[in-house]
Amino acid sequence: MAELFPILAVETSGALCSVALCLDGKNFVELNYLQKHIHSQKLIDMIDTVLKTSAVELNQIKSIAVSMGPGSFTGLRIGLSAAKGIAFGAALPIIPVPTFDAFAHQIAEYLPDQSRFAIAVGANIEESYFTRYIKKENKVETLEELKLIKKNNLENLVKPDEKVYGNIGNSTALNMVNSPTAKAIGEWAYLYGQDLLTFDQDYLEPNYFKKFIVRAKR
Amino acid sequence: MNVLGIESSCDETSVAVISEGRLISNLISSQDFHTNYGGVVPELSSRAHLQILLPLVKQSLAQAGITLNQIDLVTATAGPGLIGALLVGLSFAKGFAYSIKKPFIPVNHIEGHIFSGFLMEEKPEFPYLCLVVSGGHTLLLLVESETEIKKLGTTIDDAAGEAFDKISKLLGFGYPGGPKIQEAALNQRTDFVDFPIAQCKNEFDFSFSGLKTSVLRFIQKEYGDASKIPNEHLPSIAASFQYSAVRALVVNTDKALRKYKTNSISLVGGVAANKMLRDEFQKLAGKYKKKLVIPSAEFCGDNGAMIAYRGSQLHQAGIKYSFDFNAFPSLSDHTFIK
Repeated sequence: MAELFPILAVETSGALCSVALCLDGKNFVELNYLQKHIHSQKLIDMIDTVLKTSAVELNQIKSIAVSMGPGSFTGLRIGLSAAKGIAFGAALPIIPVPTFDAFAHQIAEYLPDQSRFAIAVGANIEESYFTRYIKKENKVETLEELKLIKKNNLENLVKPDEKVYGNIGNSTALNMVNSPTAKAIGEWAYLYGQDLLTFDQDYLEPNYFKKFIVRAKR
Repeated sequence: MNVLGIESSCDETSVAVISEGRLISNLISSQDFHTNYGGVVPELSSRAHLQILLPLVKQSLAQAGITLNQIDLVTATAGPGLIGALLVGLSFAKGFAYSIKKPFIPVNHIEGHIFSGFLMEEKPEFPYLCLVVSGGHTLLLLVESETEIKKLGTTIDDAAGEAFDKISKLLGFGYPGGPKIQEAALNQRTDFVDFPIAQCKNEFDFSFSGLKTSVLRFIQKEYGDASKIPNEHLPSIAASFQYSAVRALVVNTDKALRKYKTNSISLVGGVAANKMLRDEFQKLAGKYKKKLVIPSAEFCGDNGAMIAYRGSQLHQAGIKYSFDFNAFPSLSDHTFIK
């Protein structure tokens, strides 16, 4: 197995712009900036800050973990484009990380074993991403594949006692949080994503998930 | 000094390498699928940029025969353009420059066009009069130095290229309008219809919205609607429109040449590929005995070479930029044009 650490992790799928350096399976440095439309401006400086703070040189990094979505199309492209640029310049592999799986991993940290929970995050005005997970022996497993639902249908989908995380409807514990932080992206890469590690980055693309339909203008 | 230039502002992804002032690679990948939609779809454009950018950078470096550690400067278009598209090239360039520890210069796309004449063997001489004509911009400028650009006039509504696109669509020729209209208008009567040339408050400003409307009114009056135009009239209408659009550009340039002292004239941007416009500028150059520089077709459309060139100009002028420089949608945001 190739050495993965330190892992530089980037999360730009939502309003949160997050960068982490996972030094090993336990120690990390993370920097978060919650504000819309600052990702392109802040990302490189945040990466630089995280590296300087941990006294790690760029050439000591072994891999880059990138949040691949679904999420904001533009946000995802900012993160992946920058990651491709860095990876190309420094000859590093990229580990593409499914955003919701990393999110589930992060949420499950605070839940007891055998917990079942759902994640609902707004995709647009009408629709929401929806998925279910279970925590088993410290691993998170998908119970229900990610899908798009109508927001107003959420109440019919969830059971009365079911925990729903995200930023939609009756979500409770993590209200208004709609994406993981970069630490979770890096951890997921290490725990679940080693097979995804790749140097073949030419055609690496975000998971746009939703089919893009061009509406004719008349 | 090796300079990498990345362009991704609209529907062309382009990567270029300038080595010791000489252009050694300029690869352009055009997104032709937009023709299916009658115009550029921003989201699809952004996706395509991300798909092609890295392979194109690799290919360009291979063509230039240089390795990563031989690159001294990374430049990319930061605006104006489609934000989503710009962010792909800009974010990649920033990440790349950061990782190879080399300076990064964000380039104004229009300034790239303004200095694109310098990619030619015969270069413009300061001060020069520059007409920028593209799908998004129409600007008449007095370029006094690399950092002093005076705006004499601009369009108060549609850009020249936009007018070509719209009329082409109206006449059923499709997108992109410039080449389609030019093709249809070849060797046709330009006096079939006498379309007007707008007079603006500022003597150097342009307006193409009125011209567009008058084409539409003419069609409505003569034929009822565009679908009823007899096929044999279409080329003459296209030629008459093209003639008026070109005249509008030439008249203002002529006025500016009379008023301002210049050493050269430069015609740049996508619409500079138009044969009639090029011919008219030749006549102007002859009339005023000025050196005329029109970039070859490769440098008229969007290209990485002009971005690399403009970036190195700014770098040599000692101007520094930090990584928090953001993409910007409109010309007025970050420019030396005053």
